[in-house]
Amino acid sequence: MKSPLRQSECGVALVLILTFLVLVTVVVLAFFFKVQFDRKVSSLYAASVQVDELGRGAMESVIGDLQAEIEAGSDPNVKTSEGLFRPRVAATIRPARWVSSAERTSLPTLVRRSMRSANRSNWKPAGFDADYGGATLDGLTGSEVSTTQPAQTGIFFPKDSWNRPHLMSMAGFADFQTPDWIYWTPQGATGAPADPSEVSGRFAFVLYDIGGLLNVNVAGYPSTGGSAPTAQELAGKGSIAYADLSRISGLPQAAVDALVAWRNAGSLAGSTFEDYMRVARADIGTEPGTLDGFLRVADGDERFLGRGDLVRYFEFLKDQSVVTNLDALPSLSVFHRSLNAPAIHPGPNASDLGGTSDAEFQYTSRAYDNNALNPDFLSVKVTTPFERMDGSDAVVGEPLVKRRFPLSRLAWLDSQSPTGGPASGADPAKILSAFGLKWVDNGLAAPDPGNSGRLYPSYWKYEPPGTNPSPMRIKTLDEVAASGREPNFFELLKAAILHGSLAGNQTAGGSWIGSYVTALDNDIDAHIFRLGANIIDQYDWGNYPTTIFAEVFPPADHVVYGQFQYFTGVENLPGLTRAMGSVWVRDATPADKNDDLYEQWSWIQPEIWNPHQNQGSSGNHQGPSNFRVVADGAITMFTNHSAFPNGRATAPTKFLNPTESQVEFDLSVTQWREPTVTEAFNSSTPNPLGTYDVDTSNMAYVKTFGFLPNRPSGIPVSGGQPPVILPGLPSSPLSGFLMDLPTTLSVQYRDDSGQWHTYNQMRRMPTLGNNGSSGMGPAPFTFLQKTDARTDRFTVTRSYLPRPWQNATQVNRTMRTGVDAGHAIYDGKPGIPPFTHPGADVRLGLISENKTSGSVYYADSDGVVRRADGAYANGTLDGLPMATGNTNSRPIILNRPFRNVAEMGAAFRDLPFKGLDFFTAESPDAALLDLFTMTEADMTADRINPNSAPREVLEALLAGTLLEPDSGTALTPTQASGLATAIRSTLDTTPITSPGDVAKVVTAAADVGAQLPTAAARIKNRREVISRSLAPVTDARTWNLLLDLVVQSGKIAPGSSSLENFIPSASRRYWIHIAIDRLTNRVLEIRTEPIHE
Amino acid sequence: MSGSHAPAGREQGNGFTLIELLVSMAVLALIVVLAATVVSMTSQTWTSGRNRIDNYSYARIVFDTLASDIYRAVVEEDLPNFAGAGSGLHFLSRVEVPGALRRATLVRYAWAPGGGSNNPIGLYRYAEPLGYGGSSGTNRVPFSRTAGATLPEPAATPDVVGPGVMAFDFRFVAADKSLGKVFKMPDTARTDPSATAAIEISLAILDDATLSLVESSGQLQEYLDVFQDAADNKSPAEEWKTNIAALTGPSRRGTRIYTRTISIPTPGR
Repeated sequence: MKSPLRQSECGVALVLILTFLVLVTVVVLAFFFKVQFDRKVSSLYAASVQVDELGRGAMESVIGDLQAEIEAGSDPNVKTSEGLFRPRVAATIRPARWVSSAERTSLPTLVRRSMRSANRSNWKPAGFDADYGGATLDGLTGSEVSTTQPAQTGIFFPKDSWNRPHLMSMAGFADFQTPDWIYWTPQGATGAPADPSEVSGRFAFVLYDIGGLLNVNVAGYPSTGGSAPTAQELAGKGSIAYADLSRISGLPQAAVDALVAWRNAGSLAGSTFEDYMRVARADIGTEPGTLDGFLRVADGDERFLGRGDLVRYFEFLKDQSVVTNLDALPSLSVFHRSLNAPAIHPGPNASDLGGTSDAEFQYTSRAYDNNALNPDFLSVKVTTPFERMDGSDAVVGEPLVKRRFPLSRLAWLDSQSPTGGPASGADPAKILSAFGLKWVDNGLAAPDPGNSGRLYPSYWKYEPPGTNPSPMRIKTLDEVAASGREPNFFELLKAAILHGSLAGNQTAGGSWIGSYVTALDNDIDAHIFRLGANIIDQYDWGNYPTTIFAEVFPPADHVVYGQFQYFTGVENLPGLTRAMGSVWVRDATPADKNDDLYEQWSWIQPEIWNPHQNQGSSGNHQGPSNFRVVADGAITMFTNHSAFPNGRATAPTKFLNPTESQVEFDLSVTQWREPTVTEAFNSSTPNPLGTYDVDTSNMAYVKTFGFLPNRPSGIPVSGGQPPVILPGLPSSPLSGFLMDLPTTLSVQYRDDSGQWHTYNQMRRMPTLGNNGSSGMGPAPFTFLQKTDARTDRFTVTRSYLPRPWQNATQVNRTMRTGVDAGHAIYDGKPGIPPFTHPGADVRLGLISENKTSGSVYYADSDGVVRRADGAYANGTLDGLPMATGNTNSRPIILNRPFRNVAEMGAAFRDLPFKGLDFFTAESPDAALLDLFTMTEADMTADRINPNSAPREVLEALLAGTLLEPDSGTALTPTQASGLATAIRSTLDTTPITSPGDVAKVVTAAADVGAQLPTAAARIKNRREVISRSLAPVTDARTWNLLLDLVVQSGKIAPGSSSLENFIPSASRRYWIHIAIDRLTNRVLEIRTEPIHE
Repeated sequence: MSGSHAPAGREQGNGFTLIELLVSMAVLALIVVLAATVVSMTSQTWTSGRNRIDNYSYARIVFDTLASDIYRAVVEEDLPNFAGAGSGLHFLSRVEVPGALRRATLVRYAWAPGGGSNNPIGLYRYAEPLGYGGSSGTNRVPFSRTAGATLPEPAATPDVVGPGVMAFDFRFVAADKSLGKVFKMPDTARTDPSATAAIEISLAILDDATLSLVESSGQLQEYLDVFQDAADNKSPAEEWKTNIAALTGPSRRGTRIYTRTISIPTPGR
């Protein structure tokens, strides 16, 4: 029999077992605790990853929604299949605003939010169905659960939290209605999940259009110290960097200064504003002036890292008592992206502007035609790969014109030196690529006063790389694409300017106009070359005109037409306005032809005028100071022989020799600020008169033939102002000239080496004087005249003074009825069809207005009457360039690099008193504001979208702009404010679609409520203050948006079907900056800013 | 007396025979040995598991902290992105530093050999908040377009975020999956396959006990030499794994190699 275990042994075993069990339990519990902990951590991490993914998905959903909207709002007849999304109507150029009526005005940047179905219906934008082709675009309709409703866990978003970005003003925020949740299910984002148990998360958002806000990483400038701008520097306004931030509510000047001092500490190290801007704009290239688009920060400068950074900075300023509130924030952003690419779409059709209905001139309708002269720029694609000028590859299918043409490249062409040519350091190969120009210097070593007939010793020859047509022609963009290269400056000009506004059907003018004139004036390319030269000469520092040679005529015609293939730019120099035919007879009743008293003097007296308002302002611009007028061709002396005793039957002819037929003058006396005959002042280097006794056996009475720089002795002075018209001259017989075509008067300047260069001509030389066949009646003092000294396009006409005889100074220069007596053209009329005038009383001065409301105007070849520089003149001298002494209304020569593209408006358009038009609704040049740029960057950060710009932003951009580009007074705060209000009102009803629309649409605001002084509203330079302020900073094609996105991962409480019972497991908030190109529907950039809640 | 007879010895002493004793002692010894072995193995396993968990926890702390900082990294074209004057990983982040108004922080992760209980060997995180005051100095975000510019050293006192981290290295992962030591900013269109998309972090972590063992044996430097710089286009972790395999002793077992790839929030789509 076994003995039982002792009690103590049993206890030990139990203890051991229990201990073991405890240990095992502890270990197991610890293990499970650890597992639980790890699982918890892992699930949190998983939730974190999940909510990030949900956030990314939500962002993509919103972007997808926007892209669907772009597609729906685009013209389906346009090449959307090729990635081109042209708006159906102007309204769809910007995101549709799904907002309440109160929010529409009080929260101007609010675009939409996640919203329930009812609100989507209630807030549908007016005209939406038509504008978007019936699309509903309701893919992101929210649920009935507001973000202000607590979740199952009690978490909710109070209304105030939605204004953490401070994009809604405090006053307007009262109108804000909070977003509703959108739920994630396996089927996607929806406001009404079919199975709530499948919900994996939810999100809500508010979307803002921040494109109209000032990117405060760029905007603003120092107001004190050496880096503060002068008024003239500020007038540049080529970027939002010139915005006067002190115009923004809640942003006193001290705050602006503090901001700039902090932000631009590195840039402010220089001593001038120019230094500051150069550094701040980040000179990124080796070529001078190759600036980036403020995308990068200069060394030592700062930038806001996101909107949260901006908000905290203002809280910092408030703590420092620099600002008293955060009211400025709704006008400011920290992000803007603009493609620096032109999106020119030609238009409107000529018929829409009262012009012809010919298909050729229906610009919009023809925009997508192959080889249209004015194509839709985005539709012209690369067809042959090539390397672009910036070194990038041009890929087949992408737009041929991928970037705006940087005006800084004009600096490669030098006219600072008398001889011109490539600027120092400029690469001729690049010049050839960018301009199609080669420098040609005939290399005349010795001075050649006589010029040997060579009017153009050196020039740029237009000869782009590759195969060129003969005679030379500027290619269309389609032709350029086929050539496998980038279009050059002239090709771009030709493609952008509406071709019906160029050249013209030069058929009127009768027998005076030679065929060569017709060919020249009808040639669009010739017009473009002249215009291009004018732009170049506005930009360059020198006052030496640029000459471009292009063989636009067939080689066989060069003997006759050769000299008309040179296209010279306009500088701040005098040009011919009239050629006076003067005749003087010593005694009207000599007894015999050999009697000295029977001596007749006949000569041409050129009248010279520098019609620029800044004439005589040489500054530091190098330029010529010695000039002469020469003639070439043939002139026949004419007299009414039968009325003279023993008169001869035939007129003698003299072929002109430039050496002899010239008159020299210089700039030292009057600068020709008003039209002045050359005899009115003494030449410093008088030339011998071309005095000819032509065929004295038969015509002893001819004494002088040519120019008359100094009054011959014996010729009386009348009123102290020669030339004289001969009191003793009988009413009959008559005398005069007969100029045989082609006869040309040319103005030349002399360079330092003594070489003469032609820069201004009067080529259209009809008969000067009475040839007895025109029925003019007695006309002892006849002349040829141009309306505008700068061009002889269209308007060389013959006229004469009516009796009683008047001296030349009484020939009114304004030629405008009402303001001055004016001079009617009794015989001639310019060769411009259709030319409207009231019959004999043709007052060419009215062409400087060219309004259908006037009595004299002409239409361009597309039938559109486009107003001239005096477009807005109205009963006073303001706006009339031809009125005597009215210099304020005259054009300006900048002779400096453009500070913004709208300053190109100073460039002469080669039509009488027409500059490039950036100030009328019918402007054919507005596309140039989209074509050119000041930077080499592909993308810029220094623009705004005026369509969505708050009024204060517009005011900030306008404030401080000088009414004239280089002088005068600046817009006052009151004027800037009034203009901004008017512009805001205009844009609310008429959104613009391109920078060019600033010229065509926005400038009309100048007339609203007389926001500009009368003079400023009527004078071209001053009215264009709006274009200079806004066009260079306008970007209507890029949607710059801020998405305030809240995302929660989680699920609906088990067993619940109510979406309100959501259990969030993780939450994220993002402020996402999105840039989308509206015209290509392409996302340009996304910047995500995680927000700590 | 009659009846059954019990074995004399047992009955007399109620004890065990020698054989029984020997057998029982043998069995007991066997049990003890087995128990000891089991305990030892269990202990080892437990320790190993604990160390592994610790290592993993350390690694996760490091990775999570790094990911949080990198998630908020400020990557700009005109910043010296991930380029610091000293060793380690430098970048600018929107991470918040308590008490600082501005959420712009110079961050640097760097490994240090340590020196004392308050300064252990491991991975250190330096975080210096930047501000809005002043126009110069280290208080500002060091934007620079100068080629080769680097971020300044954060002046803040470091925190050890990875005790036991014996090696720390990183490689930038390009869109085409290639690795490199230099960050390359993507273009906006994201067309450059060699541009940086993410960063791969490599960590080598040694548990505390093994570290003490290695330190006490005077073999620390020899151990650290294992983590020599890997080729720029190679993952350091892969190279370390090969080198670790050549080791013997506890350091081989106690070392854990971890990698994590973290996406970098570069601008663009």
